[in-house]
Formats: sequence, structure tokens, C-alpha cells
Amino acid sequence: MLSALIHVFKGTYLKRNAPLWILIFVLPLGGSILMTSLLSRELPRNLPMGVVVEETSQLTGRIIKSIDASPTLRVETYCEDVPTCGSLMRSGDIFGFIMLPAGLEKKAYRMESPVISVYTNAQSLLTSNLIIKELRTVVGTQGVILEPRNLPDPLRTEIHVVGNPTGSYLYFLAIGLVAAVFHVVAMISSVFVFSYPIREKKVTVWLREAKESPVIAVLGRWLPLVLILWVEMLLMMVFVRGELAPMGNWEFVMLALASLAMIGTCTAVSIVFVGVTGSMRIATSAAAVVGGPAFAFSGQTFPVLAMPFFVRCFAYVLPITHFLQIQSAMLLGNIGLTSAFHSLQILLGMMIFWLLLGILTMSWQLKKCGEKEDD
Amino acid sequence: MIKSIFLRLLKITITEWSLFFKDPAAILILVVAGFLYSIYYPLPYLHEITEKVPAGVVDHDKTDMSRQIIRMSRSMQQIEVTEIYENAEEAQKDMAAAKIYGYLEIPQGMEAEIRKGNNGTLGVYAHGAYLMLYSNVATAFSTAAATVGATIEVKRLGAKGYSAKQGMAIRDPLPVRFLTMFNGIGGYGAYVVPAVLMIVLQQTLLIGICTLGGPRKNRHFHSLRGKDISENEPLLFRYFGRSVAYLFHYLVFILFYHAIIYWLFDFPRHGNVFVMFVFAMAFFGAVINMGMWIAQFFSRRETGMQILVCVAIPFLFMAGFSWPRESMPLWIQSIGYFLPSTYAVPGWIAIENMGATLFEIRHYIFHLYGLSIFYLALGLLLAKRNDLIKHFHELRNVTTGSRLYCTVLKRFHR
Repeated sequence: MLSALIHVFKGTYLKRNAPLWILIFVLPLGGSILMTSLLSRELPRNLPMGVVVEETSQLTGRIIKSIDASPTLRVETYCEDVPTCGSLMRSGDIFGFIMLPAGLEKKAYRMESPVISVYTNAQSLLTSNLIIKELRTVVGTQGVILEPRNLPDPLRTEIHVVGNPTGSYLYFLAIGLVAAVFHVVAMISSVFVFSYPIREKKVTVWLREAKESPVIAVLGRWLPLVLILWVEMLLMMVFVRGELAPMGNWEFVMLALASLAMIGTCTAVSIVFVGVTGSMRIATSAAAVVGGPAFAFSGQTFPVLAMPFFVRCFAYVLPITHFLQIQSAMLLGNIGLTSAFHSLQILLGMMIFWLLLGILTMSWQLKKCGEKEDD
Repeated sequence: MIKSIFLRLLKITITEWSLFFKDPAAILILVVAGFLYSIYYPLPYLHEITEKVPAGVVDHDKTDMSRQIIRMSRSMQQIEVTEIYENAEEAQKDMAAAKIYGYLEIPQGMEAEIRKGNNGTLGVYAHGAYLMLYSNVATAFSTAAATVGATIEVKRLGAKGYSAKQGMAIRDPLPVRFLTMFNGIGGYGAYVVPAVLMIVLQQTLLIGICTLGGPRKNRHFHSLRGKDISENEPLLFRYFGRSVAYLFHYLVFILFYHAIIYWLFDFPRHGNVFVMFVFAMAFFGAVINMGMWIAQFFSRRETGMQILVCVAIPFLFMAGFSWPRESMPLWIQSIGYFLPSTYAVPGWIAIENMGATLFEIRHYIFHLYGLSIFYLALGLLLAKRNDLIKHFHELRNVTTGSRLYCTVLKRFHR
């Protein structure tokens, strides 16, 4: 059996096949490195802002200076009025603007609470939230300087982001994005690996290598593919989580098993696509439909609980949803392990189910294609 | 002369366009995918915003004030306080089991400290893995605490002889009003879907062109039987005739998204049709020429699809819709300069969601036309080279064939 498995492996992976190398090495590693580098600054800095100033006073000067001095914002331009700044926002030149009204300083000293308006662009939610957060602090600080009678807040809140103490977007998004890259690559590369002999009419050669056993034929191609992608994913995950709290042994084992189960499930689902359709083109399309938008359904950016019921059902069929649930539970340390273990069981169950179904459908497809080739 | 050129081009365009509906692979990519994805992608965001996120409170104080904070938290729209815990460990366990996504911890003796004139600190713990839920939980609990805190502070100032109005002014001398200019409700669908739609158009168009062989001569498709004349037209005719078919076909998609998808999912729709048309010509021009160029690198029809599907997520994020491009490393920004989506995503959002004029998005249009010309030059050069190689091989085959024929004839005569 082992020699047959090795024969299938040699016949599949040790031959010159540029698209296969691109699919299993270049795209997953390149895509993950790109996504991680993209978010490497952890938080956006120097977001360009506009200012509409209706009066020139010491207070407005101080507010503008402190906006420019904040690490998140910088004053890009001064506008004559609100529509001009609105137009610059549509052009993408600024992400938001502040309007300092006429009589601001006078009204503030008279304790008339003059309102400062801040306009943000919610078409860009991240920058909008950052601007709101930063300007609240900047203007609040100027308010404290202006009003010495101001008492410290009797009830302060300290916000703790559990598992991501710095609130870095790298950890919010990068883990999910790397998983999403591997999710789609695993599905597409598996389609390629299993439909390639069908397209090239080499099913009989493949079966001969597997000593006419469809189970060995499938496993001989599936096991190395899973192993390669799993090692790559594990490396990337360890790299992304590098600056988070160090993983304990159990956490590492959990991460390794979760990655293995996700890659295993994705590749097994694609075997079923090939087994049912027998066509590289249609199986690739099916994998693209399921794997391409999976990140949107995974609950990382938009919570699953806020999705309509039928979409939620689909989300739970996707391996990436369970993988990311394991990741989020692991961020909570030892307390999260029980919940992570539950998701892992589901993921492993899914992998076994799809693999068995894949072997079944592929056996049927191989028999059919083999007969066709013999004819 | 002009009429004959036009007719030849038209014939190629119609042949190519009919292929979109005859070739099974093309139907799937160029017809079905554009419609399917545009309906499929917005589905998770049907409810647009997240409300009533399950959250908990750990009340160590159990006083009137702590109950007031809990009541205030319960009135917040963003969260739903589902559980009051005795200790933090229980809350953490529920957070790990995804029963709650954050909790507020009220320390023991808080009310007593505040009554003494000291200050209290509340702990808000939000799950670090969920970006949106974290924001909901943090905002809701902070607002609840700030509201209760403001009441206490105004009462303290009142005790010093200030009126309620003066107290409020002392507490917050420079109030800030935050207004959102576009996507007023802060809907997640209206934020994500427009960007995704542009990526869908770009990727399906690129994959479609790769599947149908780009400007290749004499393609051997079943659906092209009997179309030898249009298949063997000179390069410029083939290139532009086929490009026009893609261009018009995809203009229909832009109209479909504007008229149907935006209406169906209730996204902000402010686009001017003329501006959209100019933008679409520039965007599709760049994508078609890029497709015509890269299609020539793939010898098998499926390879383009397999590779381009995998790069869709990086392309989407490189367009800067979620993470500002200025905050990306230079090498990623540099790759982005060569992708039409980098300019198309912000351009489309500006036009359709924000109602931008042609003048306001001129820089995106110029970049897209620049990319069109760049890829047109690359596509034509590579196609010409490939035509010459093919011609050379044909000549060699003909020569070899005639030599073989002559040898056979000579032998036969002997």
C-alpha cells in the first residue's frame, strides 16, 4: 500500500507542472505575506483631514495644532466652506473634516457650549471610527485646558481588548485573512490536483500507479497536498501571531489540529466537486463560488449572529467559520480551550465526512473516466 | 473602406459576443458569475448594522449606583445585557463559548468611593477577535458610564453653587457633534459590497478573457466551428473586435448593479449615468487590455481561472477600501498601481455611493486610461509576437509537410 501511495505521489508532485507549483506554493505563501504586510502598521497613521475655520483665534489655532500633532491625523487642507470639504472627501483627498464655527472662543468663555462639528465618511468605516476616536480626545483635551474648573470624570471606563491588548488591526484581520487565503487556495489546488488526470486523460495511468485501488489513488494525491498546505499555513499562522501572547503547548497543538482540519476539509470538499462533475472547469467554478466569498460569511468582520438565518446556516457549513471560532476562543487563553475543542470536533467531523464522500464519488468518477479512456 | 473595416469589426464582435452564450465555460463566468455574485455577496449584510450584541455585567458592588449603570447599559441600542455575573471568571467562560461578546466589571465599593468625592473606574472587556462587536460593546458601556458620570459631576458642581446649565458647560466646554456625510446609517453592506462588486467585475472579466483565449488566432472551440474567417482576421481586427464585445457586455452589468442590485439591497444610489459611463469605459478598457495581455500566458483555459480566483482577496484589500493605501508598505502600493481595481473601487464608491462629479473623480479616470494604454501596448506587442511565432510554426509545418509529401510521391513512383 505504501509503495502504491509513493507511486501516486511521485506521479503527481514530482513532475514538471508550473500551475501546480504556483497553486500550492506561490499563491498561499505570497498571498499570506502580502495580507500580513498590508496590515503591518497595525493602525493607520496621518489620515488627511480638512478644516473649515470660520474664526481665527487662539482656541482654533490650538485645536488645529493638536489635530496636526496627533499621530492618527494630519491637517491636509483648509476649506472655505462645508461643500468644498465635502467635494474633497468625494475625491478621496481627505477622510473627514472639522468645522470650527464663528464665535467659538467667545462662546466657550461665556460657557455657552459652542458645538464643533466633525464630518466623517462612513463609506470608509475604519477611518471614520479612528477620526471620531481621535478628535474626541483632541477636542476634549482642549476643553480641559479651557475650563480649569472641570472636574475629573467621576466614572471612568478602561477598555480592555481581550486577546489583543493593543487593539491592533493586524490581529483583528490578519489571522482571518491568512485563513481565507488558505481556504480558497486549498479548494482550488485540490480541484486542480484531482481533475488534472481527467482533463489530460491519464486516469488509467493514475489508477495503475495506485494498483487499481481508488482509495489509494485519492489518498496518494490528498495526503501530500494536505501536508504541504498545512505546513505552510501553520508557518504563516505562527508568523502572524508572533507578537501576541506566546502560545502554550496545548494552544499550539490546537492551532496545528485546527489548521490541519480546515485544510483537510477544504481539499476534501473539492474532491467531491471533481468526483461529481468530472470536469476541471465546472469543479473550479463550484470551488470558486464556495471558497471565494467564504471570508465574508465567516463572521470575522461582520458577526454571524447578525446575519439572516439562512445565511447563518451556510456560514456554519464553511470550514473557515469553525477555524476562526477556534482562533477567537484561543485568544482568551486557557478559558477558551474547551470552546475551541468543541469547534475542533466539528471541523474534524466535517473533514472525515467530506473525505469519505470524496473517495466514494471519486471512485465512481475514476471508473467512468477509466472506461472512457479504455474505449 | 471605412464601412468594410466597420463590418469586419462588427462581425468579430458579434462572433465573440455570441460565444459568451454558447461556450459553457463562458456562460458560467461572463454571464452567470456577474449576476450570481452580486446577489450572493450582499446576503450576509442584509441587516446592515449589528444591534443587540449579547453582553454581560459583573457587579461586585451591588448598590443603587451599580444598578443605575446596569439599567443605563440595558437601554443602549448596540448591546443586550443578557447576564449579570457574580465573578469575572463566569463571564470569561461565557465569552469563550460565544454566549456574550464582552462584559462590564463594576468594582466593589464603587458607590462608597464616589460618595466620598473620589472617582471610580469601570472595566470594559471586549472580545479582541471581533472588530465590530468590540466597537459595539466598548461604545455602549462607555456611553452608559459617561451618562451616569455626567449626572454625578453636574450634581457635584451644583453643590459648589453652579446651575445645571453651567455645570454641563464646565463639564464639557467644547461639545463635539459627529456627522456622517455618506452612508448615513453606517451600514456594513453599503461599505463592503460596492468594493466587492468592482472586484467581481474585474476578476470575472479577466477570467472570462483568459478562458476565451484573449486575442489568440484560430481558437479551436466547438462553438467556433465555421467561424474560420473571423478567427483568422489580422491582429488589430481580432483584438479590438473582441474587446468591444467584452466592453458592451460589461456595460450592461454596471447598469444592472446601478438599477437592480443597489435598489434591491437599498444601498445609497447617487450615481449620474453619464459619469458612470465614462468611468466604466475607462475601467473596462483597463481590465480588458490587461486580460488580453495576461490571457496569452495561459496555455490551458482553466489555469487563468484558478490563479485569478485565488488573488481576488488580496486585490480587494489592496484597493484600499478597508485599509488606507497610504498606510500600506511601499511595495504593496507599487503593485497596486498596476491594478485597475485600485482606482475603480474608490472611483465607483465616489460616483455611486457619494454622488461624485466627473471633475471630482478625474484622477481615477486618468489613471484608468493610463493603465488601458499601458496594457494595450503590452497586449498588442505580445499578441503580435505570438502571431509571428505561430505563423513561423505553420510555415515550418507546411514546409515539412510538403517535403514529406514529395518523399512519399518519389518512393511511390520508384
